[in-house]
Amino acid sequence: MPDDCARRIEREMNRAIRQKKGGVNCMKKECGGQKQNWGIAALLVILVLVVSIGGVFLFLNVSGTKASPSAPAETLPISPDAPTQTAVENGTADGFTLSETGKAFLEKMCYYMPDWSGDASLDDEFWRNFLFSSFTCPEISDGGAAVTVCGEQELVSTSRGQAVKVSREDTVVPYIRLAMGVEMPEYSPAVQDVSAGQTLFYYEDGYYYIGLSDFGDLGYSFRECYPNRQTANVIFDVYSGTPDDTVGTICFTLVPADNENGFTVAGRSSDYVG
Amino acid sequence: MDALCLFHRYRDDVYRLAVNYTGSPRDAENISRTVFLKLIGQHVEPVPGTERDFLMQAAADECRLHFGRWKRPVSAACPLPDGGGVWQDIMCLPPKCRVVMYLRYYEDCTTGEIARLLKISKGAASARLSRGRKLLGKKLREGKT
Repeated sequence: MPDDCARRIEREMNRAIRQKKGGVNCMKKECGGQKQNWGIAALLVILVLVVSIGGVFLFLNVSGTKASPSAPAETLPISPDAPTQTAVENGTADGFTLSETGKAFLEKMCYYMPDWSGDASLDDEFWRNFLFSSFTCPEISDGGAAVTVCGEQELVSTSRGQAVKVSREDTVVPYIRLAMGVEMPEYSPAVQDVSAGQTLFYYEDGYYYIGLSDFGDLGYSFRECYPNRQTANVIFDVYSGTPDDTVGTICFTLVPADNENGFTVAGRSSDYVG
Repeated sequence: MDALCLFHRYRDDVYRLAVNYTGSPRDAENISRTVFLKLIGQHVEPVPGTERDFLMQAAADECRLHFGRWKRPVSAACPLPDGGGVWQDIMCLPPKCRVVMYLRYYEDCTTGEIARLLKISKGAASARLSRGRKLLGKKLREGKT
């Protein structure tokens, strides 16, 4: 770091430290007059605890069980050009087959779906990344429609710029049910949480608003399907530039399901050469 | 270790990462300032023994916020630090490749550490390293002919 730069930053740090110490001294002087507020503070804490415990009981009584993997209520047009279900790609000793439709779906999941295994990894960051990748689009198309790789979605102008508008109930919920066999949890990021300069992602009045972005510089090619007794593992090679420039692999764990793909994804992991 | 001690010990590491990421000494100074002032303002104390890792992570987060997570960093518009030879060739690489090359070969970070610092997938980190190596190799070959 250049010396003049270091001096400037150190000066500002010293100023900040002095201001912080000054603030602490003011707080110490005020403590003498705050004892009378402790009673009110204690009362508020007890009130918050009572409300929280009551809220937890209410939640446990009201919330249902997580939906088991099942066929979606309606077919989700993941890709208008998806190949029709044709001959089975891999024979299996245990009844699971990976169709061309399923393979095409998994290739898309290579792009969209973050690594995960088990419910604990399905946190806000997972849902943000999954939904963003699934519904963003790299280019603006004419006529108010965003041609995403997940079908056509409405393109709208917001106060923070252009965004793809996606219905939670009509699009996101069936999509997650098809892909993962689970019900989309309550995930509602607020527009106020979007930092300046960050691409848009927020929820409002039943719709997700997702900013425009392009994708990374990786490609994926199907390698093999390994069916087991109750699940199947499907491996994709990851390449950069040309298919022979392999940089890693992605492994999906699939569970047979009665839907257009014939499965739902129960986990995804990736491994890269470094 | 207090904030000033951390600053004196790790300021060059933070600054180098920021200048490699942004390509701009001015932006790197702003990012470095933000990282160290946050230590004071937000009462943040890294776990002893992980201070460097903590500060590098914070610097990478600030660099990303500087450009926006899903947007491409713009090319450098300011003069780059002198380093001669391969360093200059690395600094002329596209920003995405430049920062991973710097972290890999100057900071000895693994692909996993690079992915964690830059909040990208390991695949993306590997791909950018691979591309950076190819571009650098091409540049070095052109320089020799």
